[in-house]
Amino acid sequence: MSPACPELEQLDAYVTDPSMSAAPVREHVAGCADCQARLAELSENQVLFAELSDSASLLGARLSVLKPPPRQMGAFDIVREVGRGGMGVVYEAQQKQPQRRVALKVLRGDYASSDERIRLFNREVRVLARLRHAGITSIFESGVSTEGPFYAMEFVEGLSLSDYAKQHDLSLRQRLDLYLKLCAAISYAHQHGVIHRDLKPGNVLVEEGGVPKVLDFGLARITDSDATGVSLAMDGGRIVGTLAYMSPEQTRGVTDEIDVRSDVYSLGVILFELLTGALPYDVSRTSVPMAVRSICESPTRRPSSAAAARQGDARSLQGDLDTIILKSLEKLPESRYQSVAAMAEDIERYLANQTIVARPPNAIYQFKKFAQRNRVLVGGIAGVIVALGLGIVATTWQAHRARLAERTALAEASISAEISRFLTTMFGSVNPVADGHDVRVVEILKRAATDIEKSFADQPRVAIALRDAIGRAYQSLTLYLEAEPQFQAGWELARNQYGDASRQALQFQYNLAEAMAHNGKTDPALKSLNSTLEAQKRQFGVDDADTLTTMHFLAVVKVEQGNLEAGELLLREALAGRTRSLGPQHERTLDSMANLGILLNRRGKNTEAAELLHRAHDTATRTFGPESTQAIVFASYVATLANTPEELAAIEPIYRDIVDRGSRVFGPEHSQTLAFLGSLAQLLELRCEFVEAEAVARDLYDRLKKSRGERDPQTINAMGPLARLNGMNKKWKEAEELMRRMLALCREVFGEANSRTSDVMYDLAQLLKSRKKLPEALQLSQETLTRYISSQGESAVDTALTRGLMAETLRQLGRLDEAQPAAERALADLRAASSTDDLLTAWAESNLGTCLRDQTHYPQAEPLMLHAHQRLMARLGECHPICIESNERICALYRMWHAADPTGGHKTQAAEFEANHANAKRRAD
Amino acid sequence: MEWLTTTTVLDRLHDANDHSAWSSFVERFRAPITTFSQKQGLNLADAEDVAQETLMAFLESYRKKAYERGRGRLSHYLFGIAHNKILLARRKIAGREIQVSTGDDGTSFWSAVPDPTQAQEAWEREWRQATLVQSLEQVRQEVSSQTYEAFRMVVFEHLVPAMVAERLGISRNAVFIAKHRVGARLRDLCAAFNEEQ
Repeated sequence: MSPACPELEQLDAYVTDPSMSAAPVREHVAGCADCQARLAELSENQVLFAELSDSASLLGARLSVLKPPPRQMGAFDIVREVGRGGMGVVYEAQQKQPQRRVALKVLRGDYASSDERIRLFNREVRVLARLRHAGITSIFESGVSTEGPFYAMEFVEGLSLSDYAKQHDLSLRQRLDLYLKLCAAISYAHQHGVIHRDLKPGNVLVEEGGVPKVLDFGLARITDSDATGVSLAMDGGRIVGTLAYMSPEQTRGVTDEIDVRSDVYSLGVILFELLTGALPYDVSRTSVPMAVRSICESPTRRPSSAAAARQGDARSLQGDLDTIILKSLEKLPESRYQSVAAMAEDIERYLANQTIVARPPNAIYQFKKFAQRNRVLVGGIAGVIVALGLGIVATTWQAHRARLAERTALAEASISAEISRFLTTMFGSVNPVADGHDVRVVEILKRAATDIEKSFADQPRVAIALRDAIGRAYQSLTLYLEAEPQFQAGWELARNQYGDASRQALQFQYNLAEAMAHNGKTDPALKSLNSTLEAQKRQFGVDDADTLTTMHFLAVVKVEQGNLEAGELLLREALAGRTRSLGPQHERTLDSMANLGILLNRRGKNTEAAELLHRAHDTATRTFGPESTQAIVFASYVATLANTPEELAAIEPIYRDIVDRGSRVFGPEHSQTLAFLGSLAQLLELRCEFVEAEAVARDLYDRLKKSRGERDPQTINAMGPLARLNGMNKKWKEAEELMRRMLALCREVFGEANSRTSDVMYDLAQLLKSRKKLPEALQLSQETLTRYISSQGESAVDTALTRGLMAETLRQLGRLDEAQPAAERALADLRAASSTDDLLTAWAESNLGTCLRDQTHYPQAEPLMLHAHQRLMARLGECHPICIESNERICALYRMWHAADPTGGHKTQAAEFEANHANAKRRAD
Repeated sequence: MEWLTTTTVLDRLHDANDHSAWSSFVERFRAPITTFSQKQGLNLADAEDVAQETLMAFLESYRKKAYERGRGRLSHYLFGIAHNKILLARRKIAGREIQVSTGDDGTSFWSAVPDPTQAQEAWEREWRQATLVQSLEQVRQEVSSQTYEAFRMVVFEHLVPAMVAERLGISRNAVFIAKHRVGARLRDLCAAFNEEQ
């Protein structure tokens, strides 16, 4: 521009109205290209400004946002704007007297115009002014400025919890210590009657010294009438950020239900994020209604699973920390910690290596007894094997969880406090030096159990809660023998205190029955479960969670007892009930679905079984993630669909993957991992990989012995398969020693009358028979038979199997006239029992055929033996020892028949089977 | 806040962990969609839901490559989604109203809704305003608070430059320079914004 060009002001005036400009200006611009260009720009500006100005009324609040920060507000010099939320603006300011740096929070224009909000704001300020805690930003003063009502508080400069932890590379313990400081601040506020209601990382800053400061205390309270709406309406990306930390009751906008436990929930989310780097529910890319639904309805994933998914440290979160966080994130406030202090105490207990008060929501059940049992004919041949996956699994982690959520009466704070005190005393009373270093939880529980009676004679409700807690603790350690008397005593107390048909009494009755079932007391357990179920149906209805839990477990026990048909009906009913009341994706619904799938597979209804098992697995993977307990367990169920040798070969890598995933997710000595290992051993055995199967069974036994001790029921159970596989690999001496040791342990641990003891006697008799110690085998099998007849009845499956064993022993002793009727009866009883596995019946046929053969009744023997052989081959393949033995028996049949009748063509038949036999043996070797 | 071009924001949206890109995206487009939805007859809560759902739906289709920059203006694409979401919301609301109303007296929700054919025009207006406001917000962050304040007083409070100069303790010429500087930057940003869409 040349010096002669008009000033900007003159050009501006020219643009507004050229006619009003002085003549020299008009003349200049007419001939000046620079000025023309400038005028064009100014003119465009005018249009823009007019547009903005016209929009001012429409833009309303949005334009007010664009106001620059005030330079001064009363005694405060504004330095800069530091934040802006839905309701207010925060400025950094310098207070003149006293000289200090403050944060000024000003209620935003549109909110400041409501009298009601101003009244609430003032009330809030009064309440907050009383809070004086190192972890809470203090309010210095408040007032009303031209900008609106405001308050001044301590100015905090710091990082969010997670950023601080990351930047300082804090260890797990350091993170928990930091978090405890936060809990202390919130707990202090709660004690002063103030609930935060909007706890989220943005509201917690950690100062350089590592002190977390809680900001925005009570701001949410201002929005009483629309706590949800306002928080959700916060600007931009913060919508979902805020939502993720809200408790279910907050997301539903039920303001009446919001109390300290809502803060417990938000703190739980903060801890989840602090330890895993992820949120419990991924709501970051979902719509608000869907996010609310996730928070209110979806099962919370385990922190350890979330950490594993991010390659974080899943192991250290497993167990107590998972339990603590999940408890704080329970959907129902009454199931959460009842105070922040209670949650903090549990974390402190965890840090001090003490037992936490929260119970694990997922005490995982084991594969059931009969899947692990050695219903096997160990022979020079081996025996009939319970096929992989015969066991029905009762994963009662869901049941525990359900009971936990619904057990409101026992969760009273006073009772919890008593329990807490009592257990603390108990733990304190153990002197590691005097008691030796190996002070185990079990000993403490034992001590606690004996003290209940005298300590709480006058406080039955506390005694009931303690019996419950100790019983469940034993149960989660799978120490059912110890759990049983606790539940028995608790049941009696609960009946007196609350009545026979009360929820509490019925829960004890259920727990007692469950423990009894585990301890082999099947009949009384069944009776008790039946009466519990009837009472629960009457009291709470068929769709009640407790009723359905009992129904599910009753089905499991019926199946275990051999009553597959009744089991199927009950499982179908439980599945329908759970689908109705809990929804098709609920973990308990999936549990019933998967168990029904296993049962149907066993009953030969393969198509429906496969459909159910795949559906359960797919849903669990989708809902809880591929590394979740449910997904892994259900994957192992899907693997049980394999039946033929080819299918078994195909699933072996899948099974190995399941074991790997189990080790990774649960830990190598976790009961669930060990159960997978046991299944892998069974699979390898079915595949005739005896050497490897033995190695796996040995590994399993060693891990159990190391982690649980030799006398633990699980350890004892693991001895059976190992002994059997020792036998398969011709290590007879080792097998016999192990089996004898197992029997002695059973007698000591389970008791002489226990059915498990009978089972082991049977297995030992088998082994002795194969070692040709026939007289001792006969004596033991006769003894076992008497026991089964009295405990299970004349025609029960176990009785029939034992009778078959006795018959075979008698045959080998040459007492054929005694052997034949026993073998006939055994086969008839097995055929009559619809539940009997086909392999067992086939083997009984082969036994009877052999018996008839030895009596020279060849034409009667032949069809039985061929039929049996065909079925055994179809299931096990030609190189399985059972099939080799069966083949050998048939060879002998034709050789003997040919000797008796050389013209019958039996030599050719013998040659054919001999060739098969040679092939199979070669391949097996 | 760091000023990101729409292109940058969209590029960064591909990264699921880039929260600041998502924030910028939401910051930029949520307000016009909400206001547009309100003008289409929804209340604030429903309008906010529509905005949220529209942005989520956009994100999803963008990540699936259903939207490509070269094939059309972003504003048109978003309009398509928003319009559908509004129709869905209306249906839902109509359902709610039928449940509580006893009969149609001609003032029901549906009759209060503007003609959908006018929606496109309304959208364009809203989009333009959003562009202006966002550009203005950016300018405010770029210029000194005194410059912005001078501009604000002249344009929004319609104060004469002399008074503004006096209040702010600056020369009259400085007021004009401030107004011009803000205007120039505003034009640049709006133009860039429009070009990008």
